[in-house]
Amino acid sequence: MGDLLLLDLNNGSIEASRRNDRFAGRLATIDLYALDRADLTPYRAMFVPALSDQEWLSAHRGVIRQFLDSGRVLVFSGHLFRPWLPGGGIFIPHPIRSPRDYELRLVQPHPIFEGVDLRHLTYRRGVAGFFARGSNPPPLGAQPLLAFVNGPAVLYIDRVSSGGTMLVHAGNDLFGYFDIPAGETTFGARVLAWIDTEYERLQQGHGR
Amino acid sequence: MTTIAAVYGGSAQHHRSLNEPKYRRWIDRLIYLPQLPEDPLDDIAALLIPERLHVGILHRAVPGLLGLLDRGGTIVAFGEQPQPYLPGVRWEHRPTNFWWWREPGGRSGLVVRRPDYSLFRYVTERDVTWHFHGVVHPPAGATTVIACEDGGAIFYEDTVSTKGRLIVTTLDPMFHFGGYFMPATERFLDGFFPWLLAVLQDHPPSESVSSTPKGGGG
Repeated sequence: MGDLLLLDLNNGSIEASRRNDRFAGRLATIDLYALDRADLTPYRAMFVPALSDQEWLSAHRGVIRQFLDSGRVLVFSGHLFRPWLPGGGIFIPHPIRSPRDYELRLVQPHPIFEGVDLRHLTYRRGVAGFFARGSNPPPLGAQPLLAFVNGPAVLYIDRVSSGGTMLVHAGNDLFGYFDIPAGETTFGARVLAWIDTEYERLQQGHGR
Repeated sequence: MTTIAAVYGGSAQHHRSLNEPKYRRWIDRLIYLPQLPEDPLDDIAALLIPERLHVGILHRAVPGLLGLLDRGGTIVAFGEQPQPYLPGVRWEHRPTNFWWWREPGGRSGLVVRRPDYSLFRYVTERDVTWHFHGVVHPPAGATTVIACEDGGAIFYEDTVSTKGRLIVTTLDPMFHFGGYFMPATERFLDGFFPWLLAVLQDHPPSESVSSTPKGGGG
């Protein structure tokens, strides 16, 4: 049974069939609208997709909070517009005047970006704009990792707003980038290794 | 009776697209997707169903959608339909070419078959051209407005499968406009809403729609 939970939006996305490979066979899915009735204890981490129904998440934010407070990891990609994610600020679009405005800088080195060429995040076949188009402002005490070259953070880690750890990214689903190279491995392998490390740390009582 | 309703799936993309003031003013009411199966839909003339909604809930809403069509109503459906929920729709996936415009002589693959169609009084070919994720094969008697050069339709109107009007397009403007991405989608939506109202005024529902006050249904 997979220990990485992806909320299934059941929206017919063509991406769906490619997902499990990217999660190294560890993927489990639960329909978003069944999340409040599900046993979440088997899962180390939860991936909340960019197209999720945030009205529903907001109405059931206690489920998310409880998951985090049990020492688990949550990865969200998307534009926050409802306050369901602990600490998360409401999305602010980044002014884009040229494709260069989508380019990224590493705010501080981090294992998940080791060996990752940031241009592979910004550009796909020369087209920019898939990875991030704005910012979910991080709370005080969070750790920004990636930002626009000329702008605010687009990806941060938050260990202060709950009893778990959140990786928050203001763009299309992060697992859509899992295939890109990262040194001798892939970006996806780096993210999954970080989740495992973070989960072990939380379970050993190093969370809040 | 020109009431326009739109299904709201709760995503950030739909939230922005449907609440942007220049679009919201055309929409008489939003129907939150989880409430769609119980909604009587008896006060509306046209229902807009955006792309990338929960297919299971859409399928539970089919009886209500068929009722709307049977009353002569209009349904506009955007986006991919790998599990079609509307009469006559047959879907075929196509790989997405989002970079065609960067290649010398690149073409989107989209072909306007009916430049005389009323939509083109509100938008240009450029405004319907970004990319597509698949095509639909319309039933006999439907009008293919925009086709794919390799076959199949990207936009068609069907007034033969039901007593109502089905407008089906694989284009996904709300996902992209709502995601602050792809300027053509904003131009498309700028023209789409006034066009939809004009369609309703030119072709009012064949039967008068109940004036029953809006209720929760169920």
